[in-house]
Amino acid sequence: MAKTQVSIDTNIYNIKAKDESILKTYGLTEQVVREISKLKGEPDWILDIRLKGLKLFYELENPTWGPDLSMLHIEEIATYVKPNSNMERSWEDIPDEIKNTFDRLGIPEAEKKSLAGVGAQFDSEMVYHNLEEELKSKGVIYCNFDEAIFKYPELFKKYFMKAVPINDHKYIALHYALFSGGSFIYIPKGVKLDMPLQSYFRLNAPGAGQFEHTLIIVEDDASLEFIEGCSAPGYNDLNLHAGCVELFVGKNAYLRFSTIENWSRNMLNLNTKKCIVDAHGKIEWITGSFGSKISMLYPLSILNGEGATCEYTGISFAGKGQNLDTGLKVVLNAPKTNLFVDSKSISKDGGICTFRSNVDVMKNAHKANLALSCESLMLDSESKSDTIPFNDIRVDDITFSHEATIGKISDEMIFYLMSRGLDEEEAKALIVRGFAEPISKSFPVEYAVEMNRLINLELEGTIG
Amino acid sequence: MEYILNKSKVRTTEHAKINDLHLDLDIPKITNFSNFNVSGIDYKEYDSNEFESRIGLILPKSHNLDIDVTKDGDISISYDIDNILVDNININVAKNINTNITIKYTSTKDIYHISKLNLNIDTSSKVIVNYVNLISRNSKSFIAIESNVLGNLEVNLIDMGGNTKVNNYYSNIVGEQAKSTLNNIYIAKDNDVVDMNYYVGLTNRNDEGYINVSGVLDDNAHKNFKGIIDFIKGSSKSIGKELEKVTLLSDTSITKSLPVLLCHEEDVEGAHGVSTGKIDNDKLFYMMSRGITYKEALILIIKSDFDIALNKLTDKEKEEIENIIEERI
Amino acid sequence: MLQIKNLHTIAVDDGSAILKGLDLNIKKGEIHVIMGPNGSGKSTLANTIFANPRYEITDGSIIFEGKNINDLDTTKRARLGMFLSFQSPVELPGVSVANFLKTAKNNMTGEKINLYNFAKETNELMKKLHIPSDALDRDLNVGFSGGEKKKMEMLQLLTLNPKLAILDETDSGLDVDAIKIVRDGIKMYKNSDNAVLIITHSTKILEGLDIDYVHVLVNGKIVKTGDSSLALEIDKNGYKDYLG
Repeated sequence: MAKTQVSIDTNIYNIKAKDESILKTYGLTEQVVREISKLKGEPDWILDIRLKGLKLFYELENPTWGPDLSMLHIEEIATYVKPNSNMERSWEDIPDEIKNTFDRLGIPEAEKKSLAGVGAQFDSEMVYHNLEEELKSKGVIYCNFDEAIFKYPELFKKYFMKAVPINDHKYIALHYALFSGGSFIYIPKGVKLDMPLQSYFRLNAPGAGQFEHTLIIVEDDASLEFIEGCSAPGYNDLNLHAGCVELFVGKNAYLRFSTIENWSRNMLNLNTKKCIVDAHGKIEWITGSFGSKISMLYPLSILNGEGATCEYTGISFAGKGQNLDTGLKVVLNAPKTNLFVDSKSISKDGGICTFRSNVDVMKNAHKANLALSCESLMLDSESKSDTIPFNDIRVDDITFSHEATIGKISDEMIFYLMSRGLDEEEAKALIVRGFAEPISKSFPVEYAVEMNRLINLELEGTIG
Repeated sequence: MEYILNKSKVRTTEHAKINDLHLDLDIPKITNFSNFNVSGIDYKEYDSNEFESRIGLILPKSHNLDIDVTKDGDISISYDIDNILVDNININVAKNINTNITIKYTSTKDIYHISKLNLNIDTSSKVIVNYVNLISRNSKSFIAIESNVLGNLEVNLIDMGGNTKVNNYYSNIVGEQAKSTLNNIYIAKDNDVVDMNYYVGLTNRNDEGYINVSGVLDDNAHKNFKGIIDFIKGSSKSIGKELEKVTLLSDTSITKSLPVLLCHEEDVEGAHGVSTGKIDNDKLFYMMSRGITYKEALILIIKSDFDIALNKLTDKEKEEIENIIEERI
Repeated sequence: MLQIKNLHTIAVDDGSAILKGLDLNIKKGEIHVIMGPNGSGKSTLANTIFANPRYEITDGSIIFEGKNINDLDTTKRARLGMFLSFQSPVELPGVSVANFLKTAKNNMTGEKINLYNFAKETNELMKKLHIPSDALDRDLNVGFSGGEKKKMEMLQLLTLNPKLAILDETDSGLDVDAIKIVRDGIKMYKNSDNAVLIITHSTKILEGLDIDYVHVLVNGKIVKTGDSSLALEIDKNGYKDYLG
């Protein structure tokens, strides 16, 4: 078949703002950690956590499984980059260089149209947070994570580090040594938000790390949809993302946590996410992973209350040079808990997609209900697609089904579409978008459009 | 002494405690072995000073059989073990052969059985291997089966004996349009340990590879299943499937599964499925309403699940094994 | 409109010869029918006219509107104004009927269509074909019954409105409903400017249609051509007179 080469004319993610950061620290030593803490004016107990994280980072080993991380040398990473901006409440007050970046990514526009509040982080610090006045009056908190230490110390102390312990793995230890920025969200009992909140994370400085901490508390009977978007321009230096997300979903509460991740292809994305769900609460993870060089990301849900539910809907798309090792971990720790997983992956041009899951069904999870489905689509035989699901079951009266299939674009499908006048490239793109459709429709419409655009970008020049 | 056995080719989180099996073993001294019988074929027997299998056990001595199959027909090999048997059986099947091989291990005392079976199946041959483990209740069994398949191979691993079952199956499907199937059934109870580490690699066009496992867990039995279907580059239009079924008769047993699909080729059909749960109460109720006892109903259901590995046996052999199944449930 | 001269094809899979010197000439305004027993090459003909990569032309030519199209791929042939109704259309998970029709129409016309008018036309066609309007949101052919799939093929035929429609209806197991759907679809589509080629096994599909030519295809060649009475004769006597 004919070879087509379509050049990508614009890639908005690649716009580099000039690196105008006012402070940059490299490497990881006690001095660096103390410096960051001092700059933020933190209480001593936070500094102690940072120093403990530092110690553990050097003690713990890289994982013995999954992608090889030996290319990462922490001394080459800019561990803290302070942008030339303070926290602003008004979009207009953000320095032009930073504002233009977010403007072109469509952030303020999205806020106007469909969001209840927006946060934006540039390198190591949040530069913007805004929340509708009406929600503020209902007691909703949406602010910079660092600010919460000072403004809401009781809440902060009650929840911080309660989901993700410092010794979970090497890169969470690193996170606790260097955490900076991120969002703090509190939804009081019974408050239901009709529109989502969104935080946007942009890593601009070359060779830098981003270590934001996001903490969300959804009290009993409350509900929230949160969207995080991540992107970075492409540089040659290795970037590192070792953020942390801690989520607490109360009784009968609902949280949908959506991520569209389009980090540049030089990013090591070693993020840690964990959610603790109380009785009849529900966590929904919606994930679209397109970027990064290596991703190791397995959000963990602990279903602690009877009837709690975790729903995971994820798609990853690995192209040339990408190794996306993603999936989820779940602990079903109460009767009648539910887990529904729908994971899809697409690999092309030698990209590697791995779905990895770890499901623990504990002794007391009587009448739990689990249904997992993984589908992968290979666009050529240079690529790889692996499915590595692990299940540990300690109770006998559950319903459990797990299916994994490798899909392909059949010659019959291509022929049918070509007989309707589509060329081969369009035919493939239509089939791939169809494959991704059940996931893209889980996103708000602007993001679904965005995701389809990302798929099209990824697919250009695919035919060989 | 502690051994680290049956290492999985694909590693996952250490937290899962499934990558390797840690076992304390006290392996008796290996002596000469002669209590076996081969019928239907000529063989060559010899002793060797080294033994190694993919399970990870390296031992100083083994009993060996070489068998070349060059004509159609049924072959039967049986061993009766009284202390320890370390055996290594090599079976080479030539082109265009149709053969049915039954290998059976029994013991009256509690023993160690450590074995390795190598199968080389040439093009256009159709080979069925019924591997029957009927050693005594508290014996320990370490079965490694390796195969290179150009033709069509079906291995039925009927794993009824022992309180420790460590199994390794490694099949390379090398020919075009070649097919390799493993059907494995087991029962584990009390504090039994079952560790299965299976790999089927598809390397050529239009290959087919299947792993089907069906087991029953009772009491505090602990089972690990590690299964890998590997679509190697070049295996376009191949089919690879693994299915694991676990029937739980108690809520104190542990069942861990790692059913892996590796795919390095675009035009393939791969699937895996796991199903775990109690015996279907509706089925039980239906049968009991027709006057069948609970136990009989249970046995009927389990026997129907186990038929995948039993249907290639003769009626007499099948009956013998079904009696053992009834005994052990 | 379509001229086929001395067409020879082989199956790419096993190299076996299927069409062995087939000739056909279809003019504007005509309805042609090709009938033949199983294995005579009926399905291959439809697939070869549409450049299915599973078949290869070893000799002869396919000429559409005076131009040799042997070297054109499926897409280009479709864009010339040919349409193939599939015997068993593929399922397209995640691709809605509405999205598919729009995409196909855009590609055929090569320009962005007016969405408002297009939606209106589509709705009218769907009414005529008795397709419920919520079908627009369903994934194309996924979970559709045989009859529903045929309706979708006819909806596409009428939407894309090609110069030549080729209907591959070689399946002898078509149910009465499906046959009626295809027949009604052809009636709605046919006018004096376009042409139809029906490739079929049974004569049921032809009832009430104004057939110009009936060809009998046996062992890769057309062995007899006649008018619609030939179809009736085959219906009565089968193919035994033509099998050498």
